[in-house]
Amino acid sequence: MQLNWTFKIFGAALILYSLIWGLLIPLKPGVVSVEPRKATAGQNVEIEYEAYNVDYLKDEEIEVSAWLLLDSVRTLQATDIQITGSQKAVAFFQLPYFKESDPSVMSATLVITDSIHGYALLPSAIIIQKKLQDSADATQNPLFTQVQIDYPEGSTFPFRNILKETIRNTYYHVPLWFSMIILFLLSAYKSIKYLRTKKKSHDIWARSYAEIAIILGVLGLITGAIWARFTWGAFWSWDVKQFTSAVALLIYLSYFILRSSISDPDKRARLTASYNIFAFALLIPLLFIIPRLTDSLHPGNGGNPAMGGEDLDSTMRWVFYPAVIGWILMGLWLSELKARYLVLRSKKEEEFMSVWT
Amino acid sequence: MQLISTMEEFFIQNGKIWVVVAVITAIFIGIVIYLAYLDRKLKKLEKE
Repeated sequence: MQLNWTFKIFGAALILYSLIWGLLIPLKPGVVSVEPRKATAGQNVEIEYEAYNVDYLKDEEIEVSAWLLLDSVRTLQATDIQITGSQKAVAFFQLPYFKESDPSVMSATLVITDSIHGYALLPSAIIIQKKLQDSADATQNPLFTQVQIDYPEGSTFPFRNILKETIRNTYYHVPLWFSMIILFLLSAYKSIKYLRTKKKSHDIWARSYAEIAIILGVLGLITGAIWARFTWGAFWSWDVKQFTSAVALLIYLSYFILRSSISDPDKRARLTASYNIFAFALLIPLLFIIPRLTDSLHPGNGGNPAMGGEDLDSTMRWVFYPAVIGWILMGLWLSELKARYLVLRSKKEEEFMSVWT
Repeated sequence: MQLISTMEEFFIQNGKIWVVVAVITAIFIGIVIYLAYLDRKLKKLEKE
């Protein structure tokens, strides 16, 4: 499929857009560390926390609040907050005594919010040991108020404690795979067309689409491994998604090995066209079905939330979808260049052969 | 908050991240120009 120049430049422009905005839009604030992690019910605690992407010293008029959420009713506001650094503060809480019916430990979520940067939360920030009030204890009057959070001005990307800034990789790693799938689909389609018409150009296009798709897939695996090293802990963890993606790429690599093993061009085209169609038929269960059936670290598989939910919020969509379209168009352009080159070369070979035979 | 009166002041904002953006943009545009060059060269060969 030959693309109009406008689509080619548009594709490049979309990728450039996703590159720039994907890097520049800031993250929401987050909570990086909390000290102490344990407390006892009824205690007065001083929670020292460190936040990310805030600057408390920026403006003297900044209003910082914090809450500890034990459950939907017991939302405990900090009685005082002391700012100790541009990203550090200490929040003072009066923990309530537990009720009879409470479990022996409860974990509380820490919510911090300020008027400039917006809110952040850390689930299970502090584990509280059960203690019931007895007559010897002074009465606690913990301050339960409704949580009120601020929202940041302008667009921000979500903050995830393990991902941090790497959430931006969503715009660079994922579109490669989307583009790869479209190209493999087109490759299978061209193979079907070849088997029906036996026209050589279909075979050439099928091969070109597959080649660029493999390149994108390999880049997808490599970028995924780099991302995984610093979020999952290792470049390769035999995660089911990593594994099945690698298997799918190996199957397509065999398509090329098969091509080079047959010298007769018609036989080669016919055999590899059927192989290509089977390879695509395997791609779907490998990439989409099997990873969802078992445990996986990868988003969208093994019980993890997929695109949407908290991994792709509305600000991210504005950068992500253009990136996907851009990479699809770029993949189509690259495949077209390869196909046109091969068509030219085969014409030159035919001319050459017709001179000599 | 922004000082955009000179190009220098623009690029050193936000921890000089704009310099990174400029570098990556240059690399990417360079690659796209190369692709366009290949495209036109092929078109020329196809015309013969």
